[in-house]
Amino acid sequence: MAIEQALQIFVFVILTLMTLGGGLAVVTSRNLFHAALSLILSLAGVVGYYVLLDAGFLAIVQLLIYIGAISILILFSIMLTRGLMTPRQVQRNEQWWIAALVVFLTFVVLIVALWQMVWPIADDEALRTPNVAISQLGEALVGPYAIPFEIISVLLLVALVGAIVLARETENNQGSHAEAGSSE
Amino acid sequence: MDWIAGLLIPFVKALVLVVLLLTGFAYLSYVERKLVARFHVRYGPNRAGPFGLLQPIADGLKMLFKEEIIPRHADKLFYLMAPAIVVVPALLVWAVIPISNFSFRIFGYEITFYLTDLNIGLLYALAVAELGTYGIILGGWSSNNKYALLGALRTSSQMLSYSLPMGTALLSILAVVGSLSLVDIVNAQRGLWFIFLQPLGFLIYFITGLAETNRSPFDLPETENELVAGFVTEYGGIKFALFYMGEYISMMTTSALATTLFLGGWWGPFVDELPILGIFYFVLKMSAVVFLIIWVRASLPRVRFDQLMGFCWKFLLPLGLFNVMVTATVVALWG
Amino acid sequence: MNGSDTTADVLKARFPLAVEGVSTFRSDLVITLKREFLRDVARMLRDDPRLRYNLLLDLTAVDRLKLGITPRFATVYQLYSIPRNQAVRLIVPLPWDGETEMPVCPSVTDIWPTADWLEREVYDLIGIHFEGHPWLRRILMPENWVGHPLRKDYPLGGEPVNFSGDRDNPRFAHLGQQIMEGLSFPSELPPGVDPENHMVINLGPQHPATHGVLRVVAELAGEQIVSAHCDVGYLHSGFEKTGESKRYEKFIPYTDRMDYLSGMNNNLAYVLTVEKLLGVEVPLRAQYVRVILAELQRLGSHLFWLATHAHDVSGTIHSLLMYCLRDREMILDIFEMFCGGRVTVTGMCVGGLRQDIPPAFPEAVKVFLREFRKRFKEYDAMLTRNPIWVARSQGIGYLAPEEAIALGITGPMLRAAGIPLDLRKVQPYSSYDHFEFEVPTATESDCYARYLVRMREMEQSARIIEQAINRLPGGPFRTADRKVVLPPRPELDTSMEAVIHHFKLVTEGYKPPPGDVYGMAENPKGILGFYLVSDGSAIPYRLHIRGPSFVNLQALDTMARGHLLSDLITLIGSVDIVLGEVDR
Repeated sequence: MAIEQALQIFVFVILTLMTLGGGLAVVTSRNLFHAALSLILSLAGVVGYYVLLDAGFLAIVQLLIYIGAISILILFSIMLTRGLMTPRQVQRNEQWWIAALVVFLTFVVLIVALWQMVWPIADDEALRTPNVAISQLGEALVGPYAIPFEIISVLLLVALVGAIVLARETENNQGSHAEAGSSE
Repeated sequence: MDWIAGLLIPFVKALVLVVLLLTGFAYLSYVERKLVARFHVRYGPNRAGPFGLLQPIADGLKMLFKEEIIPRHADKLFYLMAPAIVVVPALLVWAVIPISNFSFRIFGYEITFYLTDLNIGLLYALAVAELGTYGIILGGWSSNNKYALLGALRTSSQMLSYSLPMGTALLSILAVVGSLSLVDIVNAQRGLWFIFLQPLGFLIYFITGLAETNRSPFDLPETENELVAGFVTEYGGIKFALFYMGEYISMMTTSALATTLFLGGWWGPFVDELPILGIFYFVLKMSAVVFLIIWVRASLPRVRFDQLMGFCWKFLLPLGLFNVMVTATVVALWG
Repeated sequence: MNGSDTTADVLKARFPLAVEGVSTFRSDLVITLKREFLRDVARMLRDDPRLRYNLLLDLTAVDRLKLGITPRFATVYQLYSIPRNQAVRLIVPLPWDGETEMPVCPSVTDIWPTADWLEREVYDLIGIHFEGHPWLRRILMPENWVGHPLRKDYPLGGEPVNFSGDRDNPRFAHLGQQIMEGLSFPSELPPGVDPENHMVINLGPQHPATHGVLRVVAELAGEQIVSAHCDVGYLHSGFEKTGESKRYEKFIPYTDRMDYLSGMNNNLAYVLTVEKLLGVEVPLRAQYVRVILAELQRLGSHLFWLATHAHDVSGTIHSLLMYCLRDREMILDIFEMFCGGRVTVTGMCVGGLRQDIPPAFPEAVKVFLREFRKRFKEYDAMLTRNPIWVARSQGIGYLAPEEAIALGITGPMLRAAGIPLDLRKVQPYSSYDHFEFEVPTATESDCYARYLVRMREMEQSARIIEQAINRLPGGPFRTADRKVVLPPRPELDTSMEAVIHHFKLVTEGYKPPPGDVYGMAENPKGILGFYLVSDGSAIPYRLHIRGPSFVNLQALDTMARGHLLSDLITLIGSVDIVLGEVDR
């Protein structure tokens, strides 16, 4: 058991390095594409945490959604919008102090919340039967948590529609611009 | 749980699997060349060895001894990593694919014909298979070549388009079986293969599987007629071969998954009496799917990449959702 | 002749000062114009309802240094009226004092957009400045070439050639090293290209889908094409210059090598032009065999087009590529049986055929036709109703009919726009009027329409071949005119006159009367035109070639705008170019 525990700690340290190191690289990398890849590294670290916690389903979902879909979308938009030949980006813009403020406030809130939280240690029974969790999760989502779930869905839908509206507007501008260009 | 059962047996099994898959890749490339040649009224490779059987070895050696060229402006780390990223996920999926329910005992240890029976095997296969896309994106981006970049762009947009319809196809299976374990799914097909229960699901899975493996008519990331070679433009030698290894192994993976999910896995006549037959049936069904994929390549024109996206989002996804709804209703009413 | 008179009369009535002279030679109407009136006359010729010369077939120039005519340079415009089926040639002498670098001629690019490349070609090869041309720069020769090769005072060899790759030039210092440094020297971008906001991608000159060394500078927004400029000339081999230093009949093998997929058609167009210049009649049997050969070659060319086009668009159906090439192979076998050549055939000679067809020839053609008809149905079934194929080609690259005419498009592309211009029908040559066939047209004017037109043309070609082979007349296979073709071998033993003819022909060649003619024929890719100027010697004084691929390729930019990069490949395929002809 001692070896197993040592192994677990070792893996945990590696995962932490991955997650935090990746996160740090996201904000420090001057190359936008590298930053996005670092984000993926960080997310992969989180997948490792889930595996370590025996939460296989969450791990796979994290892999499927965050690494498999969202990060690809980020890479896609970077490749589509940024020039390939100019990878160097300035990391700060004129709003940096607002960002710093928000980050600081979030940090404070999190610390307070963590401090006040009572952490129930799961009993051995729950740890031994993690398989139940999937169907329980499903039932919880359409049962007691149905309304928050639906609200989130609506929120996402609104974001989706909003994004389309924004994109469409610029597309129209571009279209009229192109027409003007061709008629010249 | 001692170390033999916990470490050694999976390790040996994984080793055997990897060796088999790599050989399989080599000979799949041979089979494809031969088959396509026949479709083309040609002979195909017939110089190296009898019937050209040594051709894959000759190709491999040739690739191995090629000069290693790394473009000057390439992002070296990712440029070198990309081919490996393509191959590894394709291999990893095989960890959950059950080849047969046949098992035998050596020194009191039971040896099964699958690496592990994950209770979320289906999700695992879906998630890991998608990771191969990263290899293509990284390869295309890090080469610092416009054609390669366009290939990477197409891959990423293609990937976002096909994974959702594919998910719906798998969801309908999930609704029928009620388990994500691939062994359970195969066991549920003992009487009736899911291709008969879920013909739409199979169709969607097959089409999106073609897109996932970048096979014709969805081989848009390479499109040699437009993008020279797409994401592999700047690759040569063994790194180039690795991309193809990834493509062929994921072709086998897709076929194996199709077999497992829709074609009844190892089930076939007399499997109950003689379980070892299951391996044969599995390989046979898988080969049939592989043949279908190659056949498609020899007969269909390629679609344009915006047409693929439109097809996936506007046609396959609604169709898949409809399929899921119908399945769920039937299961809820009579299941 | 009535129509020709009208043209001259109308012109004289409208611009009495413009016309310097009107002449007719070998039924070609030639009008000599003053330079100042060129643009006004051109516009009137195009727009006047009595004239309507809407198609600028060809634009070239002649350096008349050795003809002893002043002014030395003259530009030549070959106009054709599609509705009236009439042609006229304008010759515009360009006064030049020799002080300026080159003579000046007003540009007609805004009247006929097709003049764009043609004027660049004249500028490049003869050195005439076209005033008002949007982007006058070399097109066939390298940018740093010295001199203008088609000028008559240009050296014909023996002089040092101006190679750009000298070792003192830092641009080429990296050549010859073991590992090349990837130095890049951006070439001048075509006007209007915006590399800041768009991705500029070089398709070619080494690219799998450009069928040779064509470079397309594609300006992309995402994958959408903003503009697509062609850069040609990589394969330029100076055919015109070569032709101007060879005897007439010795240029026939060169024509094989221009559009190397339609050697027989090139032969035919050239010998027709020379025969027109000489005024030679060709026996009926030779005419029929010529038709058979030309139509077989058309089938071969179209089959090759279908093979490569399907391959380019779809990438992966190599199957059709192999099937089509299998059939083309049968055609090449027939050619080999006839003349020993397969691709570079040189099957015809001025006055008839090089030799009579072998006895097995008709049967071989019939066997081919049977096989072809059977297999053609399969190819048709493979693509015509294939939804992916339709989706890939329908609505891609629309060209309005008037736009197509303005761009000088001919051949299947023009017929796909709904204009039934087929010289075999409207100006039948080589007794095409003896055969029943239709001119397939379409109205959609997109890649799918071009595909359909070419497919239907193949059926019609098979029809023509069948009629010709069944009704093949006997008789001589070449003209009895001893001034043009060699006497048969047995005659040399009995006739002194034959020996003299033989000797004169072999040592001197035939000498056409002085004058200039424009000859053309319907090639698989469009109208192939030859402009010949004779000074009375055995060597053409000026030989100009109008390559249909060259002219049709100009439309690429117009067609490609707004489409995707993938469509650009479809478009290049639908133009059906052979770079050997584009660059000549």
